[in-house]
Amino acid sequence: MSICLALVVITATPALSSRSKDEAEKIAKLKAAFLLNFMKFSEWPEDSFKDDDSPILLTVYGADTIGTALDQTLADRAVHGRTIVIHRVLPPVRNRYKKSEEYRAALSATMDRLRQSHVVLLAGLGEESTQHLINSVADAPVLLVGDGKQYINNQTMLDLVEDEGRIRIYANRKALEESQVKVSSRLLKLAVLVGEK
Amino acid sequence: MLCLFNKIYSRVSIKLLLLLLITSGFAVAVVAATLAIANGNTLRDVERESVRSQASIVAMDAAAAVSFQDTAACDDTLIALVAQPNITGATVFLTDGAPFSRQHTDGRSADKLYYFETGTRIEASQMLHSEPVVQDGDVIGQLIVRVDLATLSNRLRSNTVLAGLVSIVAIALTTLIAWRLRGVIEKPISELVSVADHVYNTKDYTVRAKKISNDEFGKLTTQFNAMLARIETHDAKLQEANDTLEQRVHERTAELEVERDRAETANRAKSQFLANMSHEIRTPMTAIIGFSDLLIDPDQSASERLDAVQTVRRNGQHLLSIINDILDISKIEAGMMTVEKIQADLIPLIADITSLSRAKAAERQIDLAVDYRGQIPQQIQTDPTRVRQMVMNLINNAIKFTDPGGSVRLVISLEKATSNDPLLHIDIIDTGIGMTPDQLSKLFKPFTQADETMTRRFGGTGLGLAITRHLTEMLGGSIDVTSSPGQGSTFALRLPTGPLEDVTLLSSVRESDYGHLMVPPEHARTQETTRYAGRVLLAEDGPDNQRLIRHVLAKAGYDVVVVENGKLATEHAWRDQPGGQPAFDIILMDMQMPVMDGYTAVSKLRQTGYKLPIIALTAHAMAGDRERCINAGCDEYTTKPIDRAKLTGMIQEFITKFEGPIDPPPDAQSHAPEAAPQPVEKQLGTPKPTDLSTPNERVLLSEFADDPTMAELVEMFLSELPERIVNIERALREEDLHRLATFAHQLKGAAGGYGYPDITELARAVEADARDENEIMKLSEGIGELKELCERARLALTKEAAQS
Repeated sequence: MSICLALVVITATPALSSRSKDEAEKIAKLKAAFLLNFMKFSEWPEDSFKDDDSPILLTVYGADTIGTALDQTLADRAVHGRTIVIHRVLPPVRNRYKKSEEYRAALSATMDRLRQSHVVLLAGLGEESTQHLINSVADAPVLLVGDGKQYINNQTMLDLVEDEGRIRIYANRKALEESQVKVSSRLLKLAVLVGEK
Repeated sequence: MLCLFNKIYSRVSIKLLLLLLITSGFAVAVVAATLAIANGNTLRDVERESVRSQASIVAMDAAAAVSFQDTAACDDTLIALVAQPNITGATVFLTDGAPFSRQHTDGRSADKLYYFETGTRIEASQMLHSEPVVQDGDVIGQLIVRVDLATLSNRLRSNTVLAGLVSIVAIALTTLIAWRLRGVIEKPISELVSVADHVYNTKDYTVRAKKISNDEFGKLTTQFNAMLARIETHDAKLQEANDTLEQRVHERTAELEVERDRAETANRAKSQFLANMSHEIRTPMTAIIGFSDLLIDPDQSASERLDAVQTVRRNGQHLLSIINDILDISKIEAGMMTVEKIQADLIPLIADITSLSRAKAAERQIDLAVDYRGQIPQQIQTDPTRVRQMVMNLINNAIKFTDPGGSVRLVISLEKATSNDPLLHIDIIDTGIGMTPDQLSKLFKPFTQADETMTRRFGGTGLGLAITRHLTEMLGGSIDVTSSPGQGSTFALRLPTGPLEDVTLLSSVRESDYGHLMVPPEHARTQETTRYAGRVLLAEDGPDNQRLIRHVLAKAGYDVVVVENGKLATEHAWRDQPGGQPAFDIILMDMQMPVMDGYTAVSKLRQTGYKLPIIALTAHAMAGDRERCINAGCDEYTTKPIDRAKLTGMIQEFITKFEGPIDPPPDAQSHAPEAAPQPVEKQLGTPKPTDLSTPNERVLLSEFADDPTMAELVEMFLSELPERIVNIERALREEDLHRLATFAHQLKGAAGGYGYPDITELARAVEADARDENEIMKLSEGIGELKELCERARLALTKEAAQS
């Protein structure tokens, strides 16, 4: 598994300038590996799991930027002895609901689902939705990871930022501090820390 | 140096110190080494643990970096690690072995680390540790850390040095403490040693070692002291034994000295005795020889000759008395003198004694009187012979030392007549010269008279009083003397009388009542007026005695047959018995004879039934001789020189006793020559009177020159003399000493027999020289003298021949 990851890293490194399909693929895989490592360096409250056999629930919210690479990377992997289940949730589209109440209900239901997750990967969401989501799950034991530079200032706990073919980790101290999920300082050493303390 | 070392090493404390040093040094060294090794191991373990824990921390830190491929972060982590001292390099390998991050201290970059499985290795001076980098249970890499062990080694080395220093200090301290405490061991030993030295050097066993401790040294000290005490006791005992021994040696030496002095004194006394005796004997001998010479001188008148003969006789008797005294003294000194106690008539005894002395007293014009006072026992129990001897001696002394005109009185009395121990007093009182107290003190000792001059003046052996005192004591009495010079002396004799119950006591006894008992003077008795008859066998080997006795007996009227030994005597005694009549009436038997001696002959005769009397003749006058003769079978015993009257009287007594007077004495004058059986006797003719008016000093006359019966015999002897001398001289030439001795011996015997004692004497000397090889040189000289003497004897022959 680690050999695979290593291969990914090695193969991903040369393709920097031109965004080829392969290159994108590599980045995706890299992100998937990072995400997995994030889970390894994070701890959740005990009551966030129903029992010892309960899997870690990863919910991809928004655009599925990593796609199948995620599935491939996480397939048959276990973190902290738990299997990983991947859910993909799209935010409710306002237009689809006739009534705002319905929309809100749907949104609330989505939020609830997100709150039930252990890791939420945000990608491709607008400012408003992002903020709404952050507010909604702030008090739940959820590791909020943003995929992209735009989430750095939005109080996501960790962000994966592509930089010249490499992935940088950004960490928001305040968000990390307020969250029920504890992220290992060793991970944070590798990250670029943002946000006020 | 070595010497000093030895001296030091010889001390126990030094040995102990060395022992301590070696053992403690060894112990400390072992401990230090063990600790050093343990310390090294511990340090290494600590180092390893430290490296492991650091590695594990770094590995954990690195896990994130490795997970997120963050080489820079990983580098940072490793840099922090490598900044640690000792850690010179660290490398993180990925699981495929590819190095992920390398960091090292300066100068060690060339030293690449390589990948290896989890664990620790030590290579040369470095330790390598491999720690897995684990992320969530997965090994994602391997951290290799290199630790430089040089510092550790340095630390170990300095630790070891420290341990060594500490060891040395510890040993030094131990030694110092031990040195300070050595007294505990050394002191008791030193004490013992010093005491032992003292004892050895001074032999003083009274010292004791001081007990310093109660340990084994204390025990040793106690035992040592006990040993000293025992030695001291033994020493004292030994000393005491030595002292005792010395004391005893001293005592014994002193005793021995006393004994030796006594023996020397006794020896001197004996020598003195011999000297005195020689003197005493020589004096009368000189007179005898001198007057004998006068007799030989033909110029002497008949009266002079008679005087000379009387002098010779007197001196001869004096000599005899001296010899008797000597015998008595020697008997007394030998403890062999015996006295008997028989009933003896007192008054006749005294009378007998005084009668014998009266003539001498009269001769010296001295009045001799006996005074009986009070009651006088008729008989007393004593030894009359000894009493006679004592009293006679005392009277003779008194007469001797009293000047003419004086008196000698015997006062006889009885003391304590009624008591159990009555004493008879015999006081001899003279008016003589008396004695000084000094003289008195020596009076009763042998050989002492008042002084030497007195001896010369008065004569005497000086033995008489000594003998008298001894005899008195033996008889149970005593003798005392009181005297002062010029006033006379009183000798007081006290004799026990024995019980007087049955004894008549006489009163008013007077000497004159017993005067008839007086014996006629001696010269009267010796006159040969009596003639006897009888046959006598004389067994006698000596020619002189043969002749003398035959002469005496023949003159007395006896028929005499002479044989020269005991064997012939036994044959003659039995041979001639015609008609059963014994050939001889009596046998005179000399006891010492060749072939068969008298004892044997008498015994044989008695065994074969010879019953007639036998009278023993012997020169021995000692005690026991008489018994021997009687035991051998003799009837009586008489000593030589013979007393004519006594011998003839004795013979007649026995002849009469055994046979009774066979023939009353006839006219002896005519009878004797006829009865003589000896042809020799018959041949004797009337002697030719020797003409003594023509003196010739060179003529050697026979003793029998005056005896006509001997003349012919002497002549025969003289005629044979030249032949004898020739034989002797020939033997000398031929150096046949044995024959020479034989001839000399024969001449000796013959010359004696014919009255030539001088020839006998020379012949004896020649014989003796011939038998002694050492005296051969003297032989010819002796023979020369002998020859000359013989020629002088033969002169008489030629004279006679010329005269006839």
